[in-house]
Amino acid sequence: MTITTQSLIRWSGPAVIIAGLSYALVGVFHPPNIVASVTTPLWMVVHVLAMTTSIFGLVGLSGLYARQAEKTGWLGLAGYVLLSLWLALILGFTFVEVFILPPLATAAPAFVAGWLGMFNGTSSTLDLGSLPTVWTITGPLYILGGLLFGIATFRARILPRWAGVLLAVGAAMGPVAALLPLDLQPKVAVPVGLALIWLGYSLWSERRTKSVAPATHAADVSGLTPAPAV
Amino acid sequence: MITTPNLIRWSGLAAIAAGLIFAGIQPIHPADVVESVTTNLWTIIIGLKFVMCLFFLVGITGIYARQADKAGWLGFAGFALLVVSWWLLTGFVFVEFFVLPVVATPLPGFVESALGVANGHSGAMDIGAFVPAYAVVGVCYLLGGVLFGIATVRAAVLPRWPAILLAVAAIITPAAALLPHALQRYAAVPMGIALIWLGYSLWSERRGKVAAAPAGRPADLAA
Repeated sequence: MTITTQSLIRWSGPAVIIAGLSYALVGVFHPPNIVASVTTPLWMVVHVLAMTTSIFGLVGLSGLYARQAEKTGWLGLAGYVLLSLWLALILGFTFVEVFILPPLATAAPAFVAGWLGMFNGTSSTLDLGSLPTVWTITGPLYILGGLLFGIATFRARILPRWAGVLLAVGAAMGPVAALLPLDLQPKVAVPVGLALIWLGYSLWSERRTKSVAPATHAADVSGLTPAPAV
Repeated sequence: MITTPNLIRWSGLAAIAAGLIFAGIQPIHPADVVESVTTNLWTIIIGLKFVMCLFFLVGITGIYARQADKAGWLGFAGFALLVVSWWLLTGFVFVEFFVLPVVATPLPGFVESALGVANGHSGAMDIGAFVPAYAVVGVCYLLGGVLFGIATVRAAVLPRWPAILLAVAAIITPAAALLPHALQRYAAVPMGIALIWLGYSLWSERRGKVAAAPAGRPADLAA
């Protein structure tokens, strides 16, 4: 099989599905953010899944965006950039949770407790520098990124519009998490995970002829014609 | 206007930025010792490295997308390995930037061990899977660079010399381990130059040529 840009974009569909599935699973199974959790197998599994969300999300989102770039305009680009930045920062946090927290749970429980405090709202005895600020920034990146990308997807009419709505609404629900009890908070990931699975599946299952058509050069060519005189 | 060919072109700028940072920081990179991590220079250089990782991921995706239909499975394998390498590296740089300065005073043993993955001196503290994960970065960097470089030469879409430089730079990186650590860093310079060169080619290609190329549409229609 020849690898073409179209088939690459199509293949990014399974990457988006994996990202969505792993994200939803993280939401369902995330253990409580307490020091005793970090050395459990469940902690490791859930955070490796979160790392999976990050890499497959970065790759898959590029395909999801490329598929509809011409139609989504600056709104789509802004959503794509914000969500990608979120995925990159999330990688950093989950990387620490996989590789750093477990070995430090015994050697430096104060650091681990301080780290987990960023998520469960307790204050740290150790000065964590700019980390809490960066964690705070991931919130708006996720909410705005998901909202813009969802709306852009809805407006572009290339992929299922309701999947775009689910993504936008799911991301906008982020702040609602703060109202939930701590152990329910990760569950707000589930709608966004489902939206990604849906979008990824559509990208993957689009009929080839259809998927060849949208990138037509019609758009390109029309771009070359002078804009209506104003 | 946002079109797929234009996005691919713009990713050339990301590759240039990544290459400039990668090559440029090496002469001024602070030593990988505990005392460095709380200095301002560390904050600046490691902050740049974090940005570099993100630009690299965007840039290499564009360089790959530009030649995907010609680069075959070899190109795809090289691309996938490079993405895994730099994505994991992003995690390490995140730790260097956000975590090490914070724990330098309370946990100098941990910082020493964490820096050990880069400078080759294992610290006293056991830091679990952190060390083997860095080995994964190295192996993917080497293999990915070689495969991607060869695939780029064979695809003949972008200039061949930066592609050869990319492959050679990846190969000499482990050889550089034989040099003192301070010199080892300079193995990054040819890689940075290769990235700048490839990124510039992507960016500066004539628009008509780029617009015609990205998808090999005729092949698709034939299929």
